[in-house]
Amino acid sequence: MTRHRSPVLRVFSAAATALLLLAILGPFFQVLQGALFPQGTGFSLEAVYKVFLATPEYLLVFWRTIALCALMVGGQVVLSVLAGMGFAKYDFPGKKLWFFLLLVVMVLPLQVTLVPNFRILGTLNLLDTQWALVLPALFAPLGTFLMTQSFQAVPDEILEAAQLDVASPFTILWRILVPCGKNGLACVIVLTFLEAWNMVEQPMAYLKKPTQYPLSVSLATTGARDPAVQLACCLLALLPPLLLFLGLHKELVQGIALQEDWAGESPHRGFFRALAVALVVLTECTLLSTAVSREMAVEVVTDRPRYDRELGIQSLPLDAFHQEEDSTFLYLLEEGGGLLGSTQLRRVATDILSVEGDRAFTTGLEEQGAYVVYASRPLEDETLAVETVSGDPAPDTYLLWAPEGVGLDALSTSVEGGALYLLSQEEASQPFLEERELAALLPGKGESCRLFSLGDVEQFAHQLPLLGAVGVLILTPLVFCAGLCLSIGKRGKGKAKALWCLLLAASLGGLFLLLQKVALPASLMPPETIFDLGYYSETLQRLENGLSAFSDSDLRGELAALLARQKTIALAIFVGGCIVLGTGLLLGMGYKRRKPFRKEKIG
Amino acid sequence: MKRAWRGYALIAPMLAGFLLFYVVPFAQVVWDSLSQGTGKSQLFVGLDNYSRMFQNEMFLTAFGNTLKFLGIGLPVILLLAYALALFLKSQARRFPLLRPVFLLPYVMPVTDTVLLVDLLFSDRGLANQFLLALGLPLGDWLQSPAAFWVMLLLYLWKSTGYAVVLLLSGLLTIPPEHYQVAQVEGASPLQTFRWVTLPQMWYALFLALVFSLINAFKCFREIFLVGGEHPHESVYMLQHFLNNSFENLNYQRLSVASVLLFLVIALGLGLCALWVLRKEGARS
Repeated sequence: MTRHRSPVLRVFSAAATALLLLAILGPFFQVLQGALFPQGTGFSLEAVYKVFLATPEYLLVFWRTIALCALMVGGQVVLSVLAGMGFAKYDFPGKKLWFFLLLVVMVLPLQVTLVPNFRILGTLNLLDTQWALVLPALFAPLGTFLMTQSFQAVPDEILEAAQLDVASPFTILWRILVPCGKNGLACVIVLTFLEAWNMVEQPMAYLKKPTQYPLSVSLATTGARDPAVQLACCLLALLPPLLLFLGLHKELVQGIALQEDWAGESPHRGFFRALAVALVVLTECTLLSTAVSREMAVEVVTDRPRYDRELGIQSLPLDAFHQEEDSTFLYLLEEGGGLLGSTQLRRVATDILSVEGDRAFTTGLEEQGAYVVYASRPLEDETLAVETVSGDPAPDTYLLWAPEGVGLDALSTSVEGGALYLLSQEEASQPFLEERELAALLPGKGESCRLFSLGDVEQFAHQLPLLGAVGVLILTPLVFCAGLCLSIGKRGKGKAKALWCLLLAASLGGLFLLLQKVALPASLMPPETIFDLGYYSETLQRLENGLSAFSDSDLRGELAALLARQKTIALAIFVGGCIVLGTGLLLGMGYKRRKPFRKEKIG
Repeated sequence: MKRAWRGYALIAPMLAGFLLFYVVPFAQVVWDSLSQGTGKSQLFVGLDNYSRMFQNEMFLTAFGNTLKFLGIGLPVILLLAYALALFLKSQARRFPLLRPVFLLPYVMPVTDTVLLVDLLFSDRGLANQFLLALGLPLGDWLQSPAAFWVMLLLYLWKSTGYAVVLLLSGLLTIPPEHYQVAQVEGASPLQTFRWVTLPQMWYALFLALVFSLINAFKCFREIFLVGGEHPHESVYMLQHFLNNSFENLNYQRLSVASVLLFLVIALGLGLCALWVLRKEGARS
């Protein structure tokens, strides 16, 4: 029939197909474009950084949801395969009735079964736990229906032949039925996973705390407000279903249509490779982001508002009021923010009514609220914060960089664009908070100055080799993953696969342990992202200038030498590690290539 | 006898949980819907709750909207899917990858679809920017009766593929010889469709209807997340009603709504199933 079509019709059908594809795929590109090209600016990975590296909360909720889904899919597969075999291959009284009941409940929407489920979960005392989400989903009837359909397509003769060979029912199930019903199985896996991944009504009805919600609801209800970040979250949410779909689409199409074909199995090599890469990258991101958010947490000193009964107004130290873009803000330290209920900063707009000494008066504050007075870094809304525990004061030496025009009575040397001062403090409060010390040294003028605590610098210098090692260990799992990907899809590579998996686990464990050891001083962290390399080089440049200008004391000379030495060591560790990894990877690939060559010779 | 015992053993785990979580509590819900009070003071009141429910305006709106959505959505999705399946029948053989592509919207997570609707149809969304560029008056998509049609579009985009896959596989199982015979007999394309295609498609069509219905109810959660707890009246679905009743734990209301929904669906699908069985019976 197709042959008789006129060219006009053909062009028309091609155009219609293209239009359809556009309508189907357009939204996916929309998500990608919105996440990577935020409105008004060009390409930017900032949103992706915020979701995948700046904080672990998205990834932690992601893993928790994945675990939930895995539990549901696993349970559903086991139960529905067993029940499918029962319904398809055995006769028993009441079979038709039970199957009909399953069918009826399968068609019923969640809205009907939600209430019964809620009642029974309440009776079993399972409300407000994650089991409330898992258990009803395990016994959802769709899987049984699909498996029954696909097992029914397997001819009885095969099973009878197997029975003559004295195969036990479980051997029959595992060796014959499951491989023959793989389309139905794929369908059960994908549909159950989608159902679990997209849970909305159940969490909202069964769980009280938003921090317990799985990814689907928590992103939609408590997620970030920045559209680019939201879209980056969407990428995260899209990843598992898309991966599953791309891997199983062939079986899925057949399974949905309730068809089974017993043509040879497809290898799914690409799917397993993509799965391995995604798992490794996401695990690494989780480990890294845990460390990053710990290191990048703003250290703050807070104060509670003092209440003036006579006037009915409240007062806070003047330094707690931050001027930004023509208005005044306070930062409130709040628990229960974000997806996991962490301690976060919340920006509150306010007005200063009057100023008295170093205190300012205002109204409408929360009486028991902790308001940030000083912070280790510039503040932002919705960032993680840690209240500092003040230690005993200790002697410290500060290095101050100030623009011209700041006269300070101290040892100084002029550098480009300003001057460096050396300030030896006999008593310095610990831990070092730049903002607080600047406010004490240069009241009202300290905004454009930078103050470095040499104690913090020394701590930073000691951490440098560790950072080099961390850099190597970040790359190691990726290399091992590449090795694993190369061995996937080759038969008879069981040992190599196990070895790669072992190495992968070991390197991830090593990364985890090493990241626990990292403790960078908060005062030397860049304000925005931890990978702001320009900031580090500028800081190091200033420090080196300062240390070399004031190298008259042994201590400072040693510190300069230490900094230089540690920098070299870190670089050497990193470069050396990279070379070792690169050669390892090349060798691994070479080893892989030799094998088929040998086989040819033998053959 | 031994086989019967084995069959029961195999379905027992599934059946136990199924009875515990679905069937038994549903009986409880039916009882709740016919009575008042809780615990020992629960009294049988017959259909009182039902008659009260039919005076509740919120419920009537929700129920009406849900039925309207299904009443418009299901025929449209089936027709669209049928047309696409017929159109794709030749293409699907040439491009085997086309079928999975149709399922792609189905796997898009609910978070993404919600955000997409927002991106497209919010005040400053793409739809309004498009209207602005054309110089047309801007539309208020989500807070007006248009919201209903936006949601319908979302449903179509998401779930048509599923029905297409079902129908397409139904079409592909029709033996090509039947078409050859029709051609030899000189049947017009319309006649071929009427006498060859249609009679062999009732079962596939019924399956497509069932799964489209299932998918339609899945679509309500997107509507719920897009609209929030108090959306525009035109998309106030049973979903919202149930959720609001959940918040003040009104068991009677929840039960009555569940039972009514159950009755409507069971009735509708039962009739369809009878019709299909009769057609299938006539065929064989």
